[in-house]
Amino acid sequence: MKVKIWGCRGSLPVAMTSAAVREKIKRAVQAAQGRTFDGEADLDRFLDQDLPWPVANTYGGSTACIEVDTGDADYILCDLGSGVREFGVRMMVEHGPTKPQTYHVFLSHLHWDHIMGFPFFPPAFIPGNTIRIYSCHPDPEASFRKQQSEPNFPVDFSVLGADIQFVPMTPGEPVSAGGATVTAKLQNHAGDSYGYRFESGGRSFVYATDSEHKQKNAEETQAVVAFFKDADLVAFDAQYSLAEAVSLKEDWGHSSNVIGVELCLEARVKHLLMIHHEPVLGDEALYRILEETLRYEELMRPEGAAPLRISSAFDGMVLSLPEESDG
Amino acid sequence: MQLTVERRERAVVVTPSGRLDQTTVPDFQARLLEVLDETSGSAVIVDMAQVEFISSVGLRALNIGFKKSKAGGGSLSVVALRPIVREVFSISRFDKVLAVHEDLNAALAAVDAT
Ligand SMILES: [Zn+2]
Ligand SMILES: [Zn+2]
Repeated sequence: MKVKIWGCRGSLPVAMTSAAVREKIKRAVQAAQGRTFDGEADLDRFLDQDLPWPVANTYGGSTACIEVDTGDADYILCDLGSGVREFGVRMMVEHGPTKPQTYHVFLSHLHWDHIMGFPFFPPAFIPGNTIRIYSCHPDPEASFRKQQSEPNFPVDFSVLGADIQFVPMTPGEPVSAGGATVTAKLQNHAGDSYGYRFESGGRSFVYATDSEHKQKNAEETQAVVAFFKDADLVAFDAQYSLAEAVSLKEDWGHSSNVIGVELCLEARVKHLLMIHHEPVLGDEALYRILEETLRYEELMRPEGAAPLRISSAFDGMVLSLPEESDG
Repeated sequence: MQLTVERRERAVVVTPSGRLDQTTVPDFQARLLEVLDETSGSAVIVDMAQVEFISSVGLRALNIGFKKSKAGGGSLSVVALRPIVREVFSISRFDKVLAVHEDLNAALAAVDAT
């Protein structure tokens, strides 16, 4: 199983500013002073090994969209945030307009950052394609039609040429799609959200975004631990710091890195992937949070327990389960 | 987890010891809220010198205490964090939400200044 990140950002798409690009260039040039480079591979080595990650890279700014690749011919996506545009463009390059494809989309919920990319998803315009949108919410179609109608958008939903099916799902009742068995779980979020657990070829991936963990009731916490149990990878909403999540931003529906570590350690998850990054945070700030999260895991890990691997999602990241990241 | 309470002239000093985690926090939180009820409106200082570790539930309990003391017209501050506890405060950003002082004297001076 492979998991590809097309949109790691929460709430609102963002783009890197000119000032941020210049800052990275300055630091890279400074670090390169007095050095010569023997070809592109040497340059890449310099970027990967000698520059701090947030100088040589950026997290990116597209909102929620993650692809789950089971090796099946059908595609699986989690959410349709602005990141699905890039995914759709890739599909057009790979398959062109004449080879029909089937897409299985699992929707966490209908907040705008999770569906805003759909009007810009080229495969939706092409007859022959099938798009099955799985949702536990009562009427997801209404949100898609509303988003894609005047005066919100010039091209009406009814113009879309693909066969678009809305598939109702019930938490706890698994469905088979795209080579995976998928189970949903209700999460704590304004208007409700749902997490999804994907099982395929003995590997498991949990998509758990837009979920607040209030730790007020042990039963609720244990249900989350059971949902995460022994997963190879958990993509976890870590938009806020713990302090924000319990004070100023209490009931805003998001969680923190600290809670992610605690839940994943308790559930013996192998790899925690932080997602739904706060739009105001730049690359340096997000990277610092990753380092702090690694440290918290070290402090929290029970004696003798295997370390929990932790990453912070970036647009374009590819994680192969269970092998090492190639992104 | 042990907890002692000492009433001083201008503040109440609460001193927990051991780990503040899932197993000990329910007790700690109940005792802290009890103290806040009994001393409503006063300055409460939580002396953390004996606390070896704190996880999210411990931080939440302090935050609940902080909100309660504020609502009652009092204050709650935290002092004498051990290095690891200080790290957890920083990682969780609780050092930005709670009043953290170097030691008891600094917290008492802050109470005097208000
Ligand atoms: Zn969101
Ligand atoms: Zn949301």
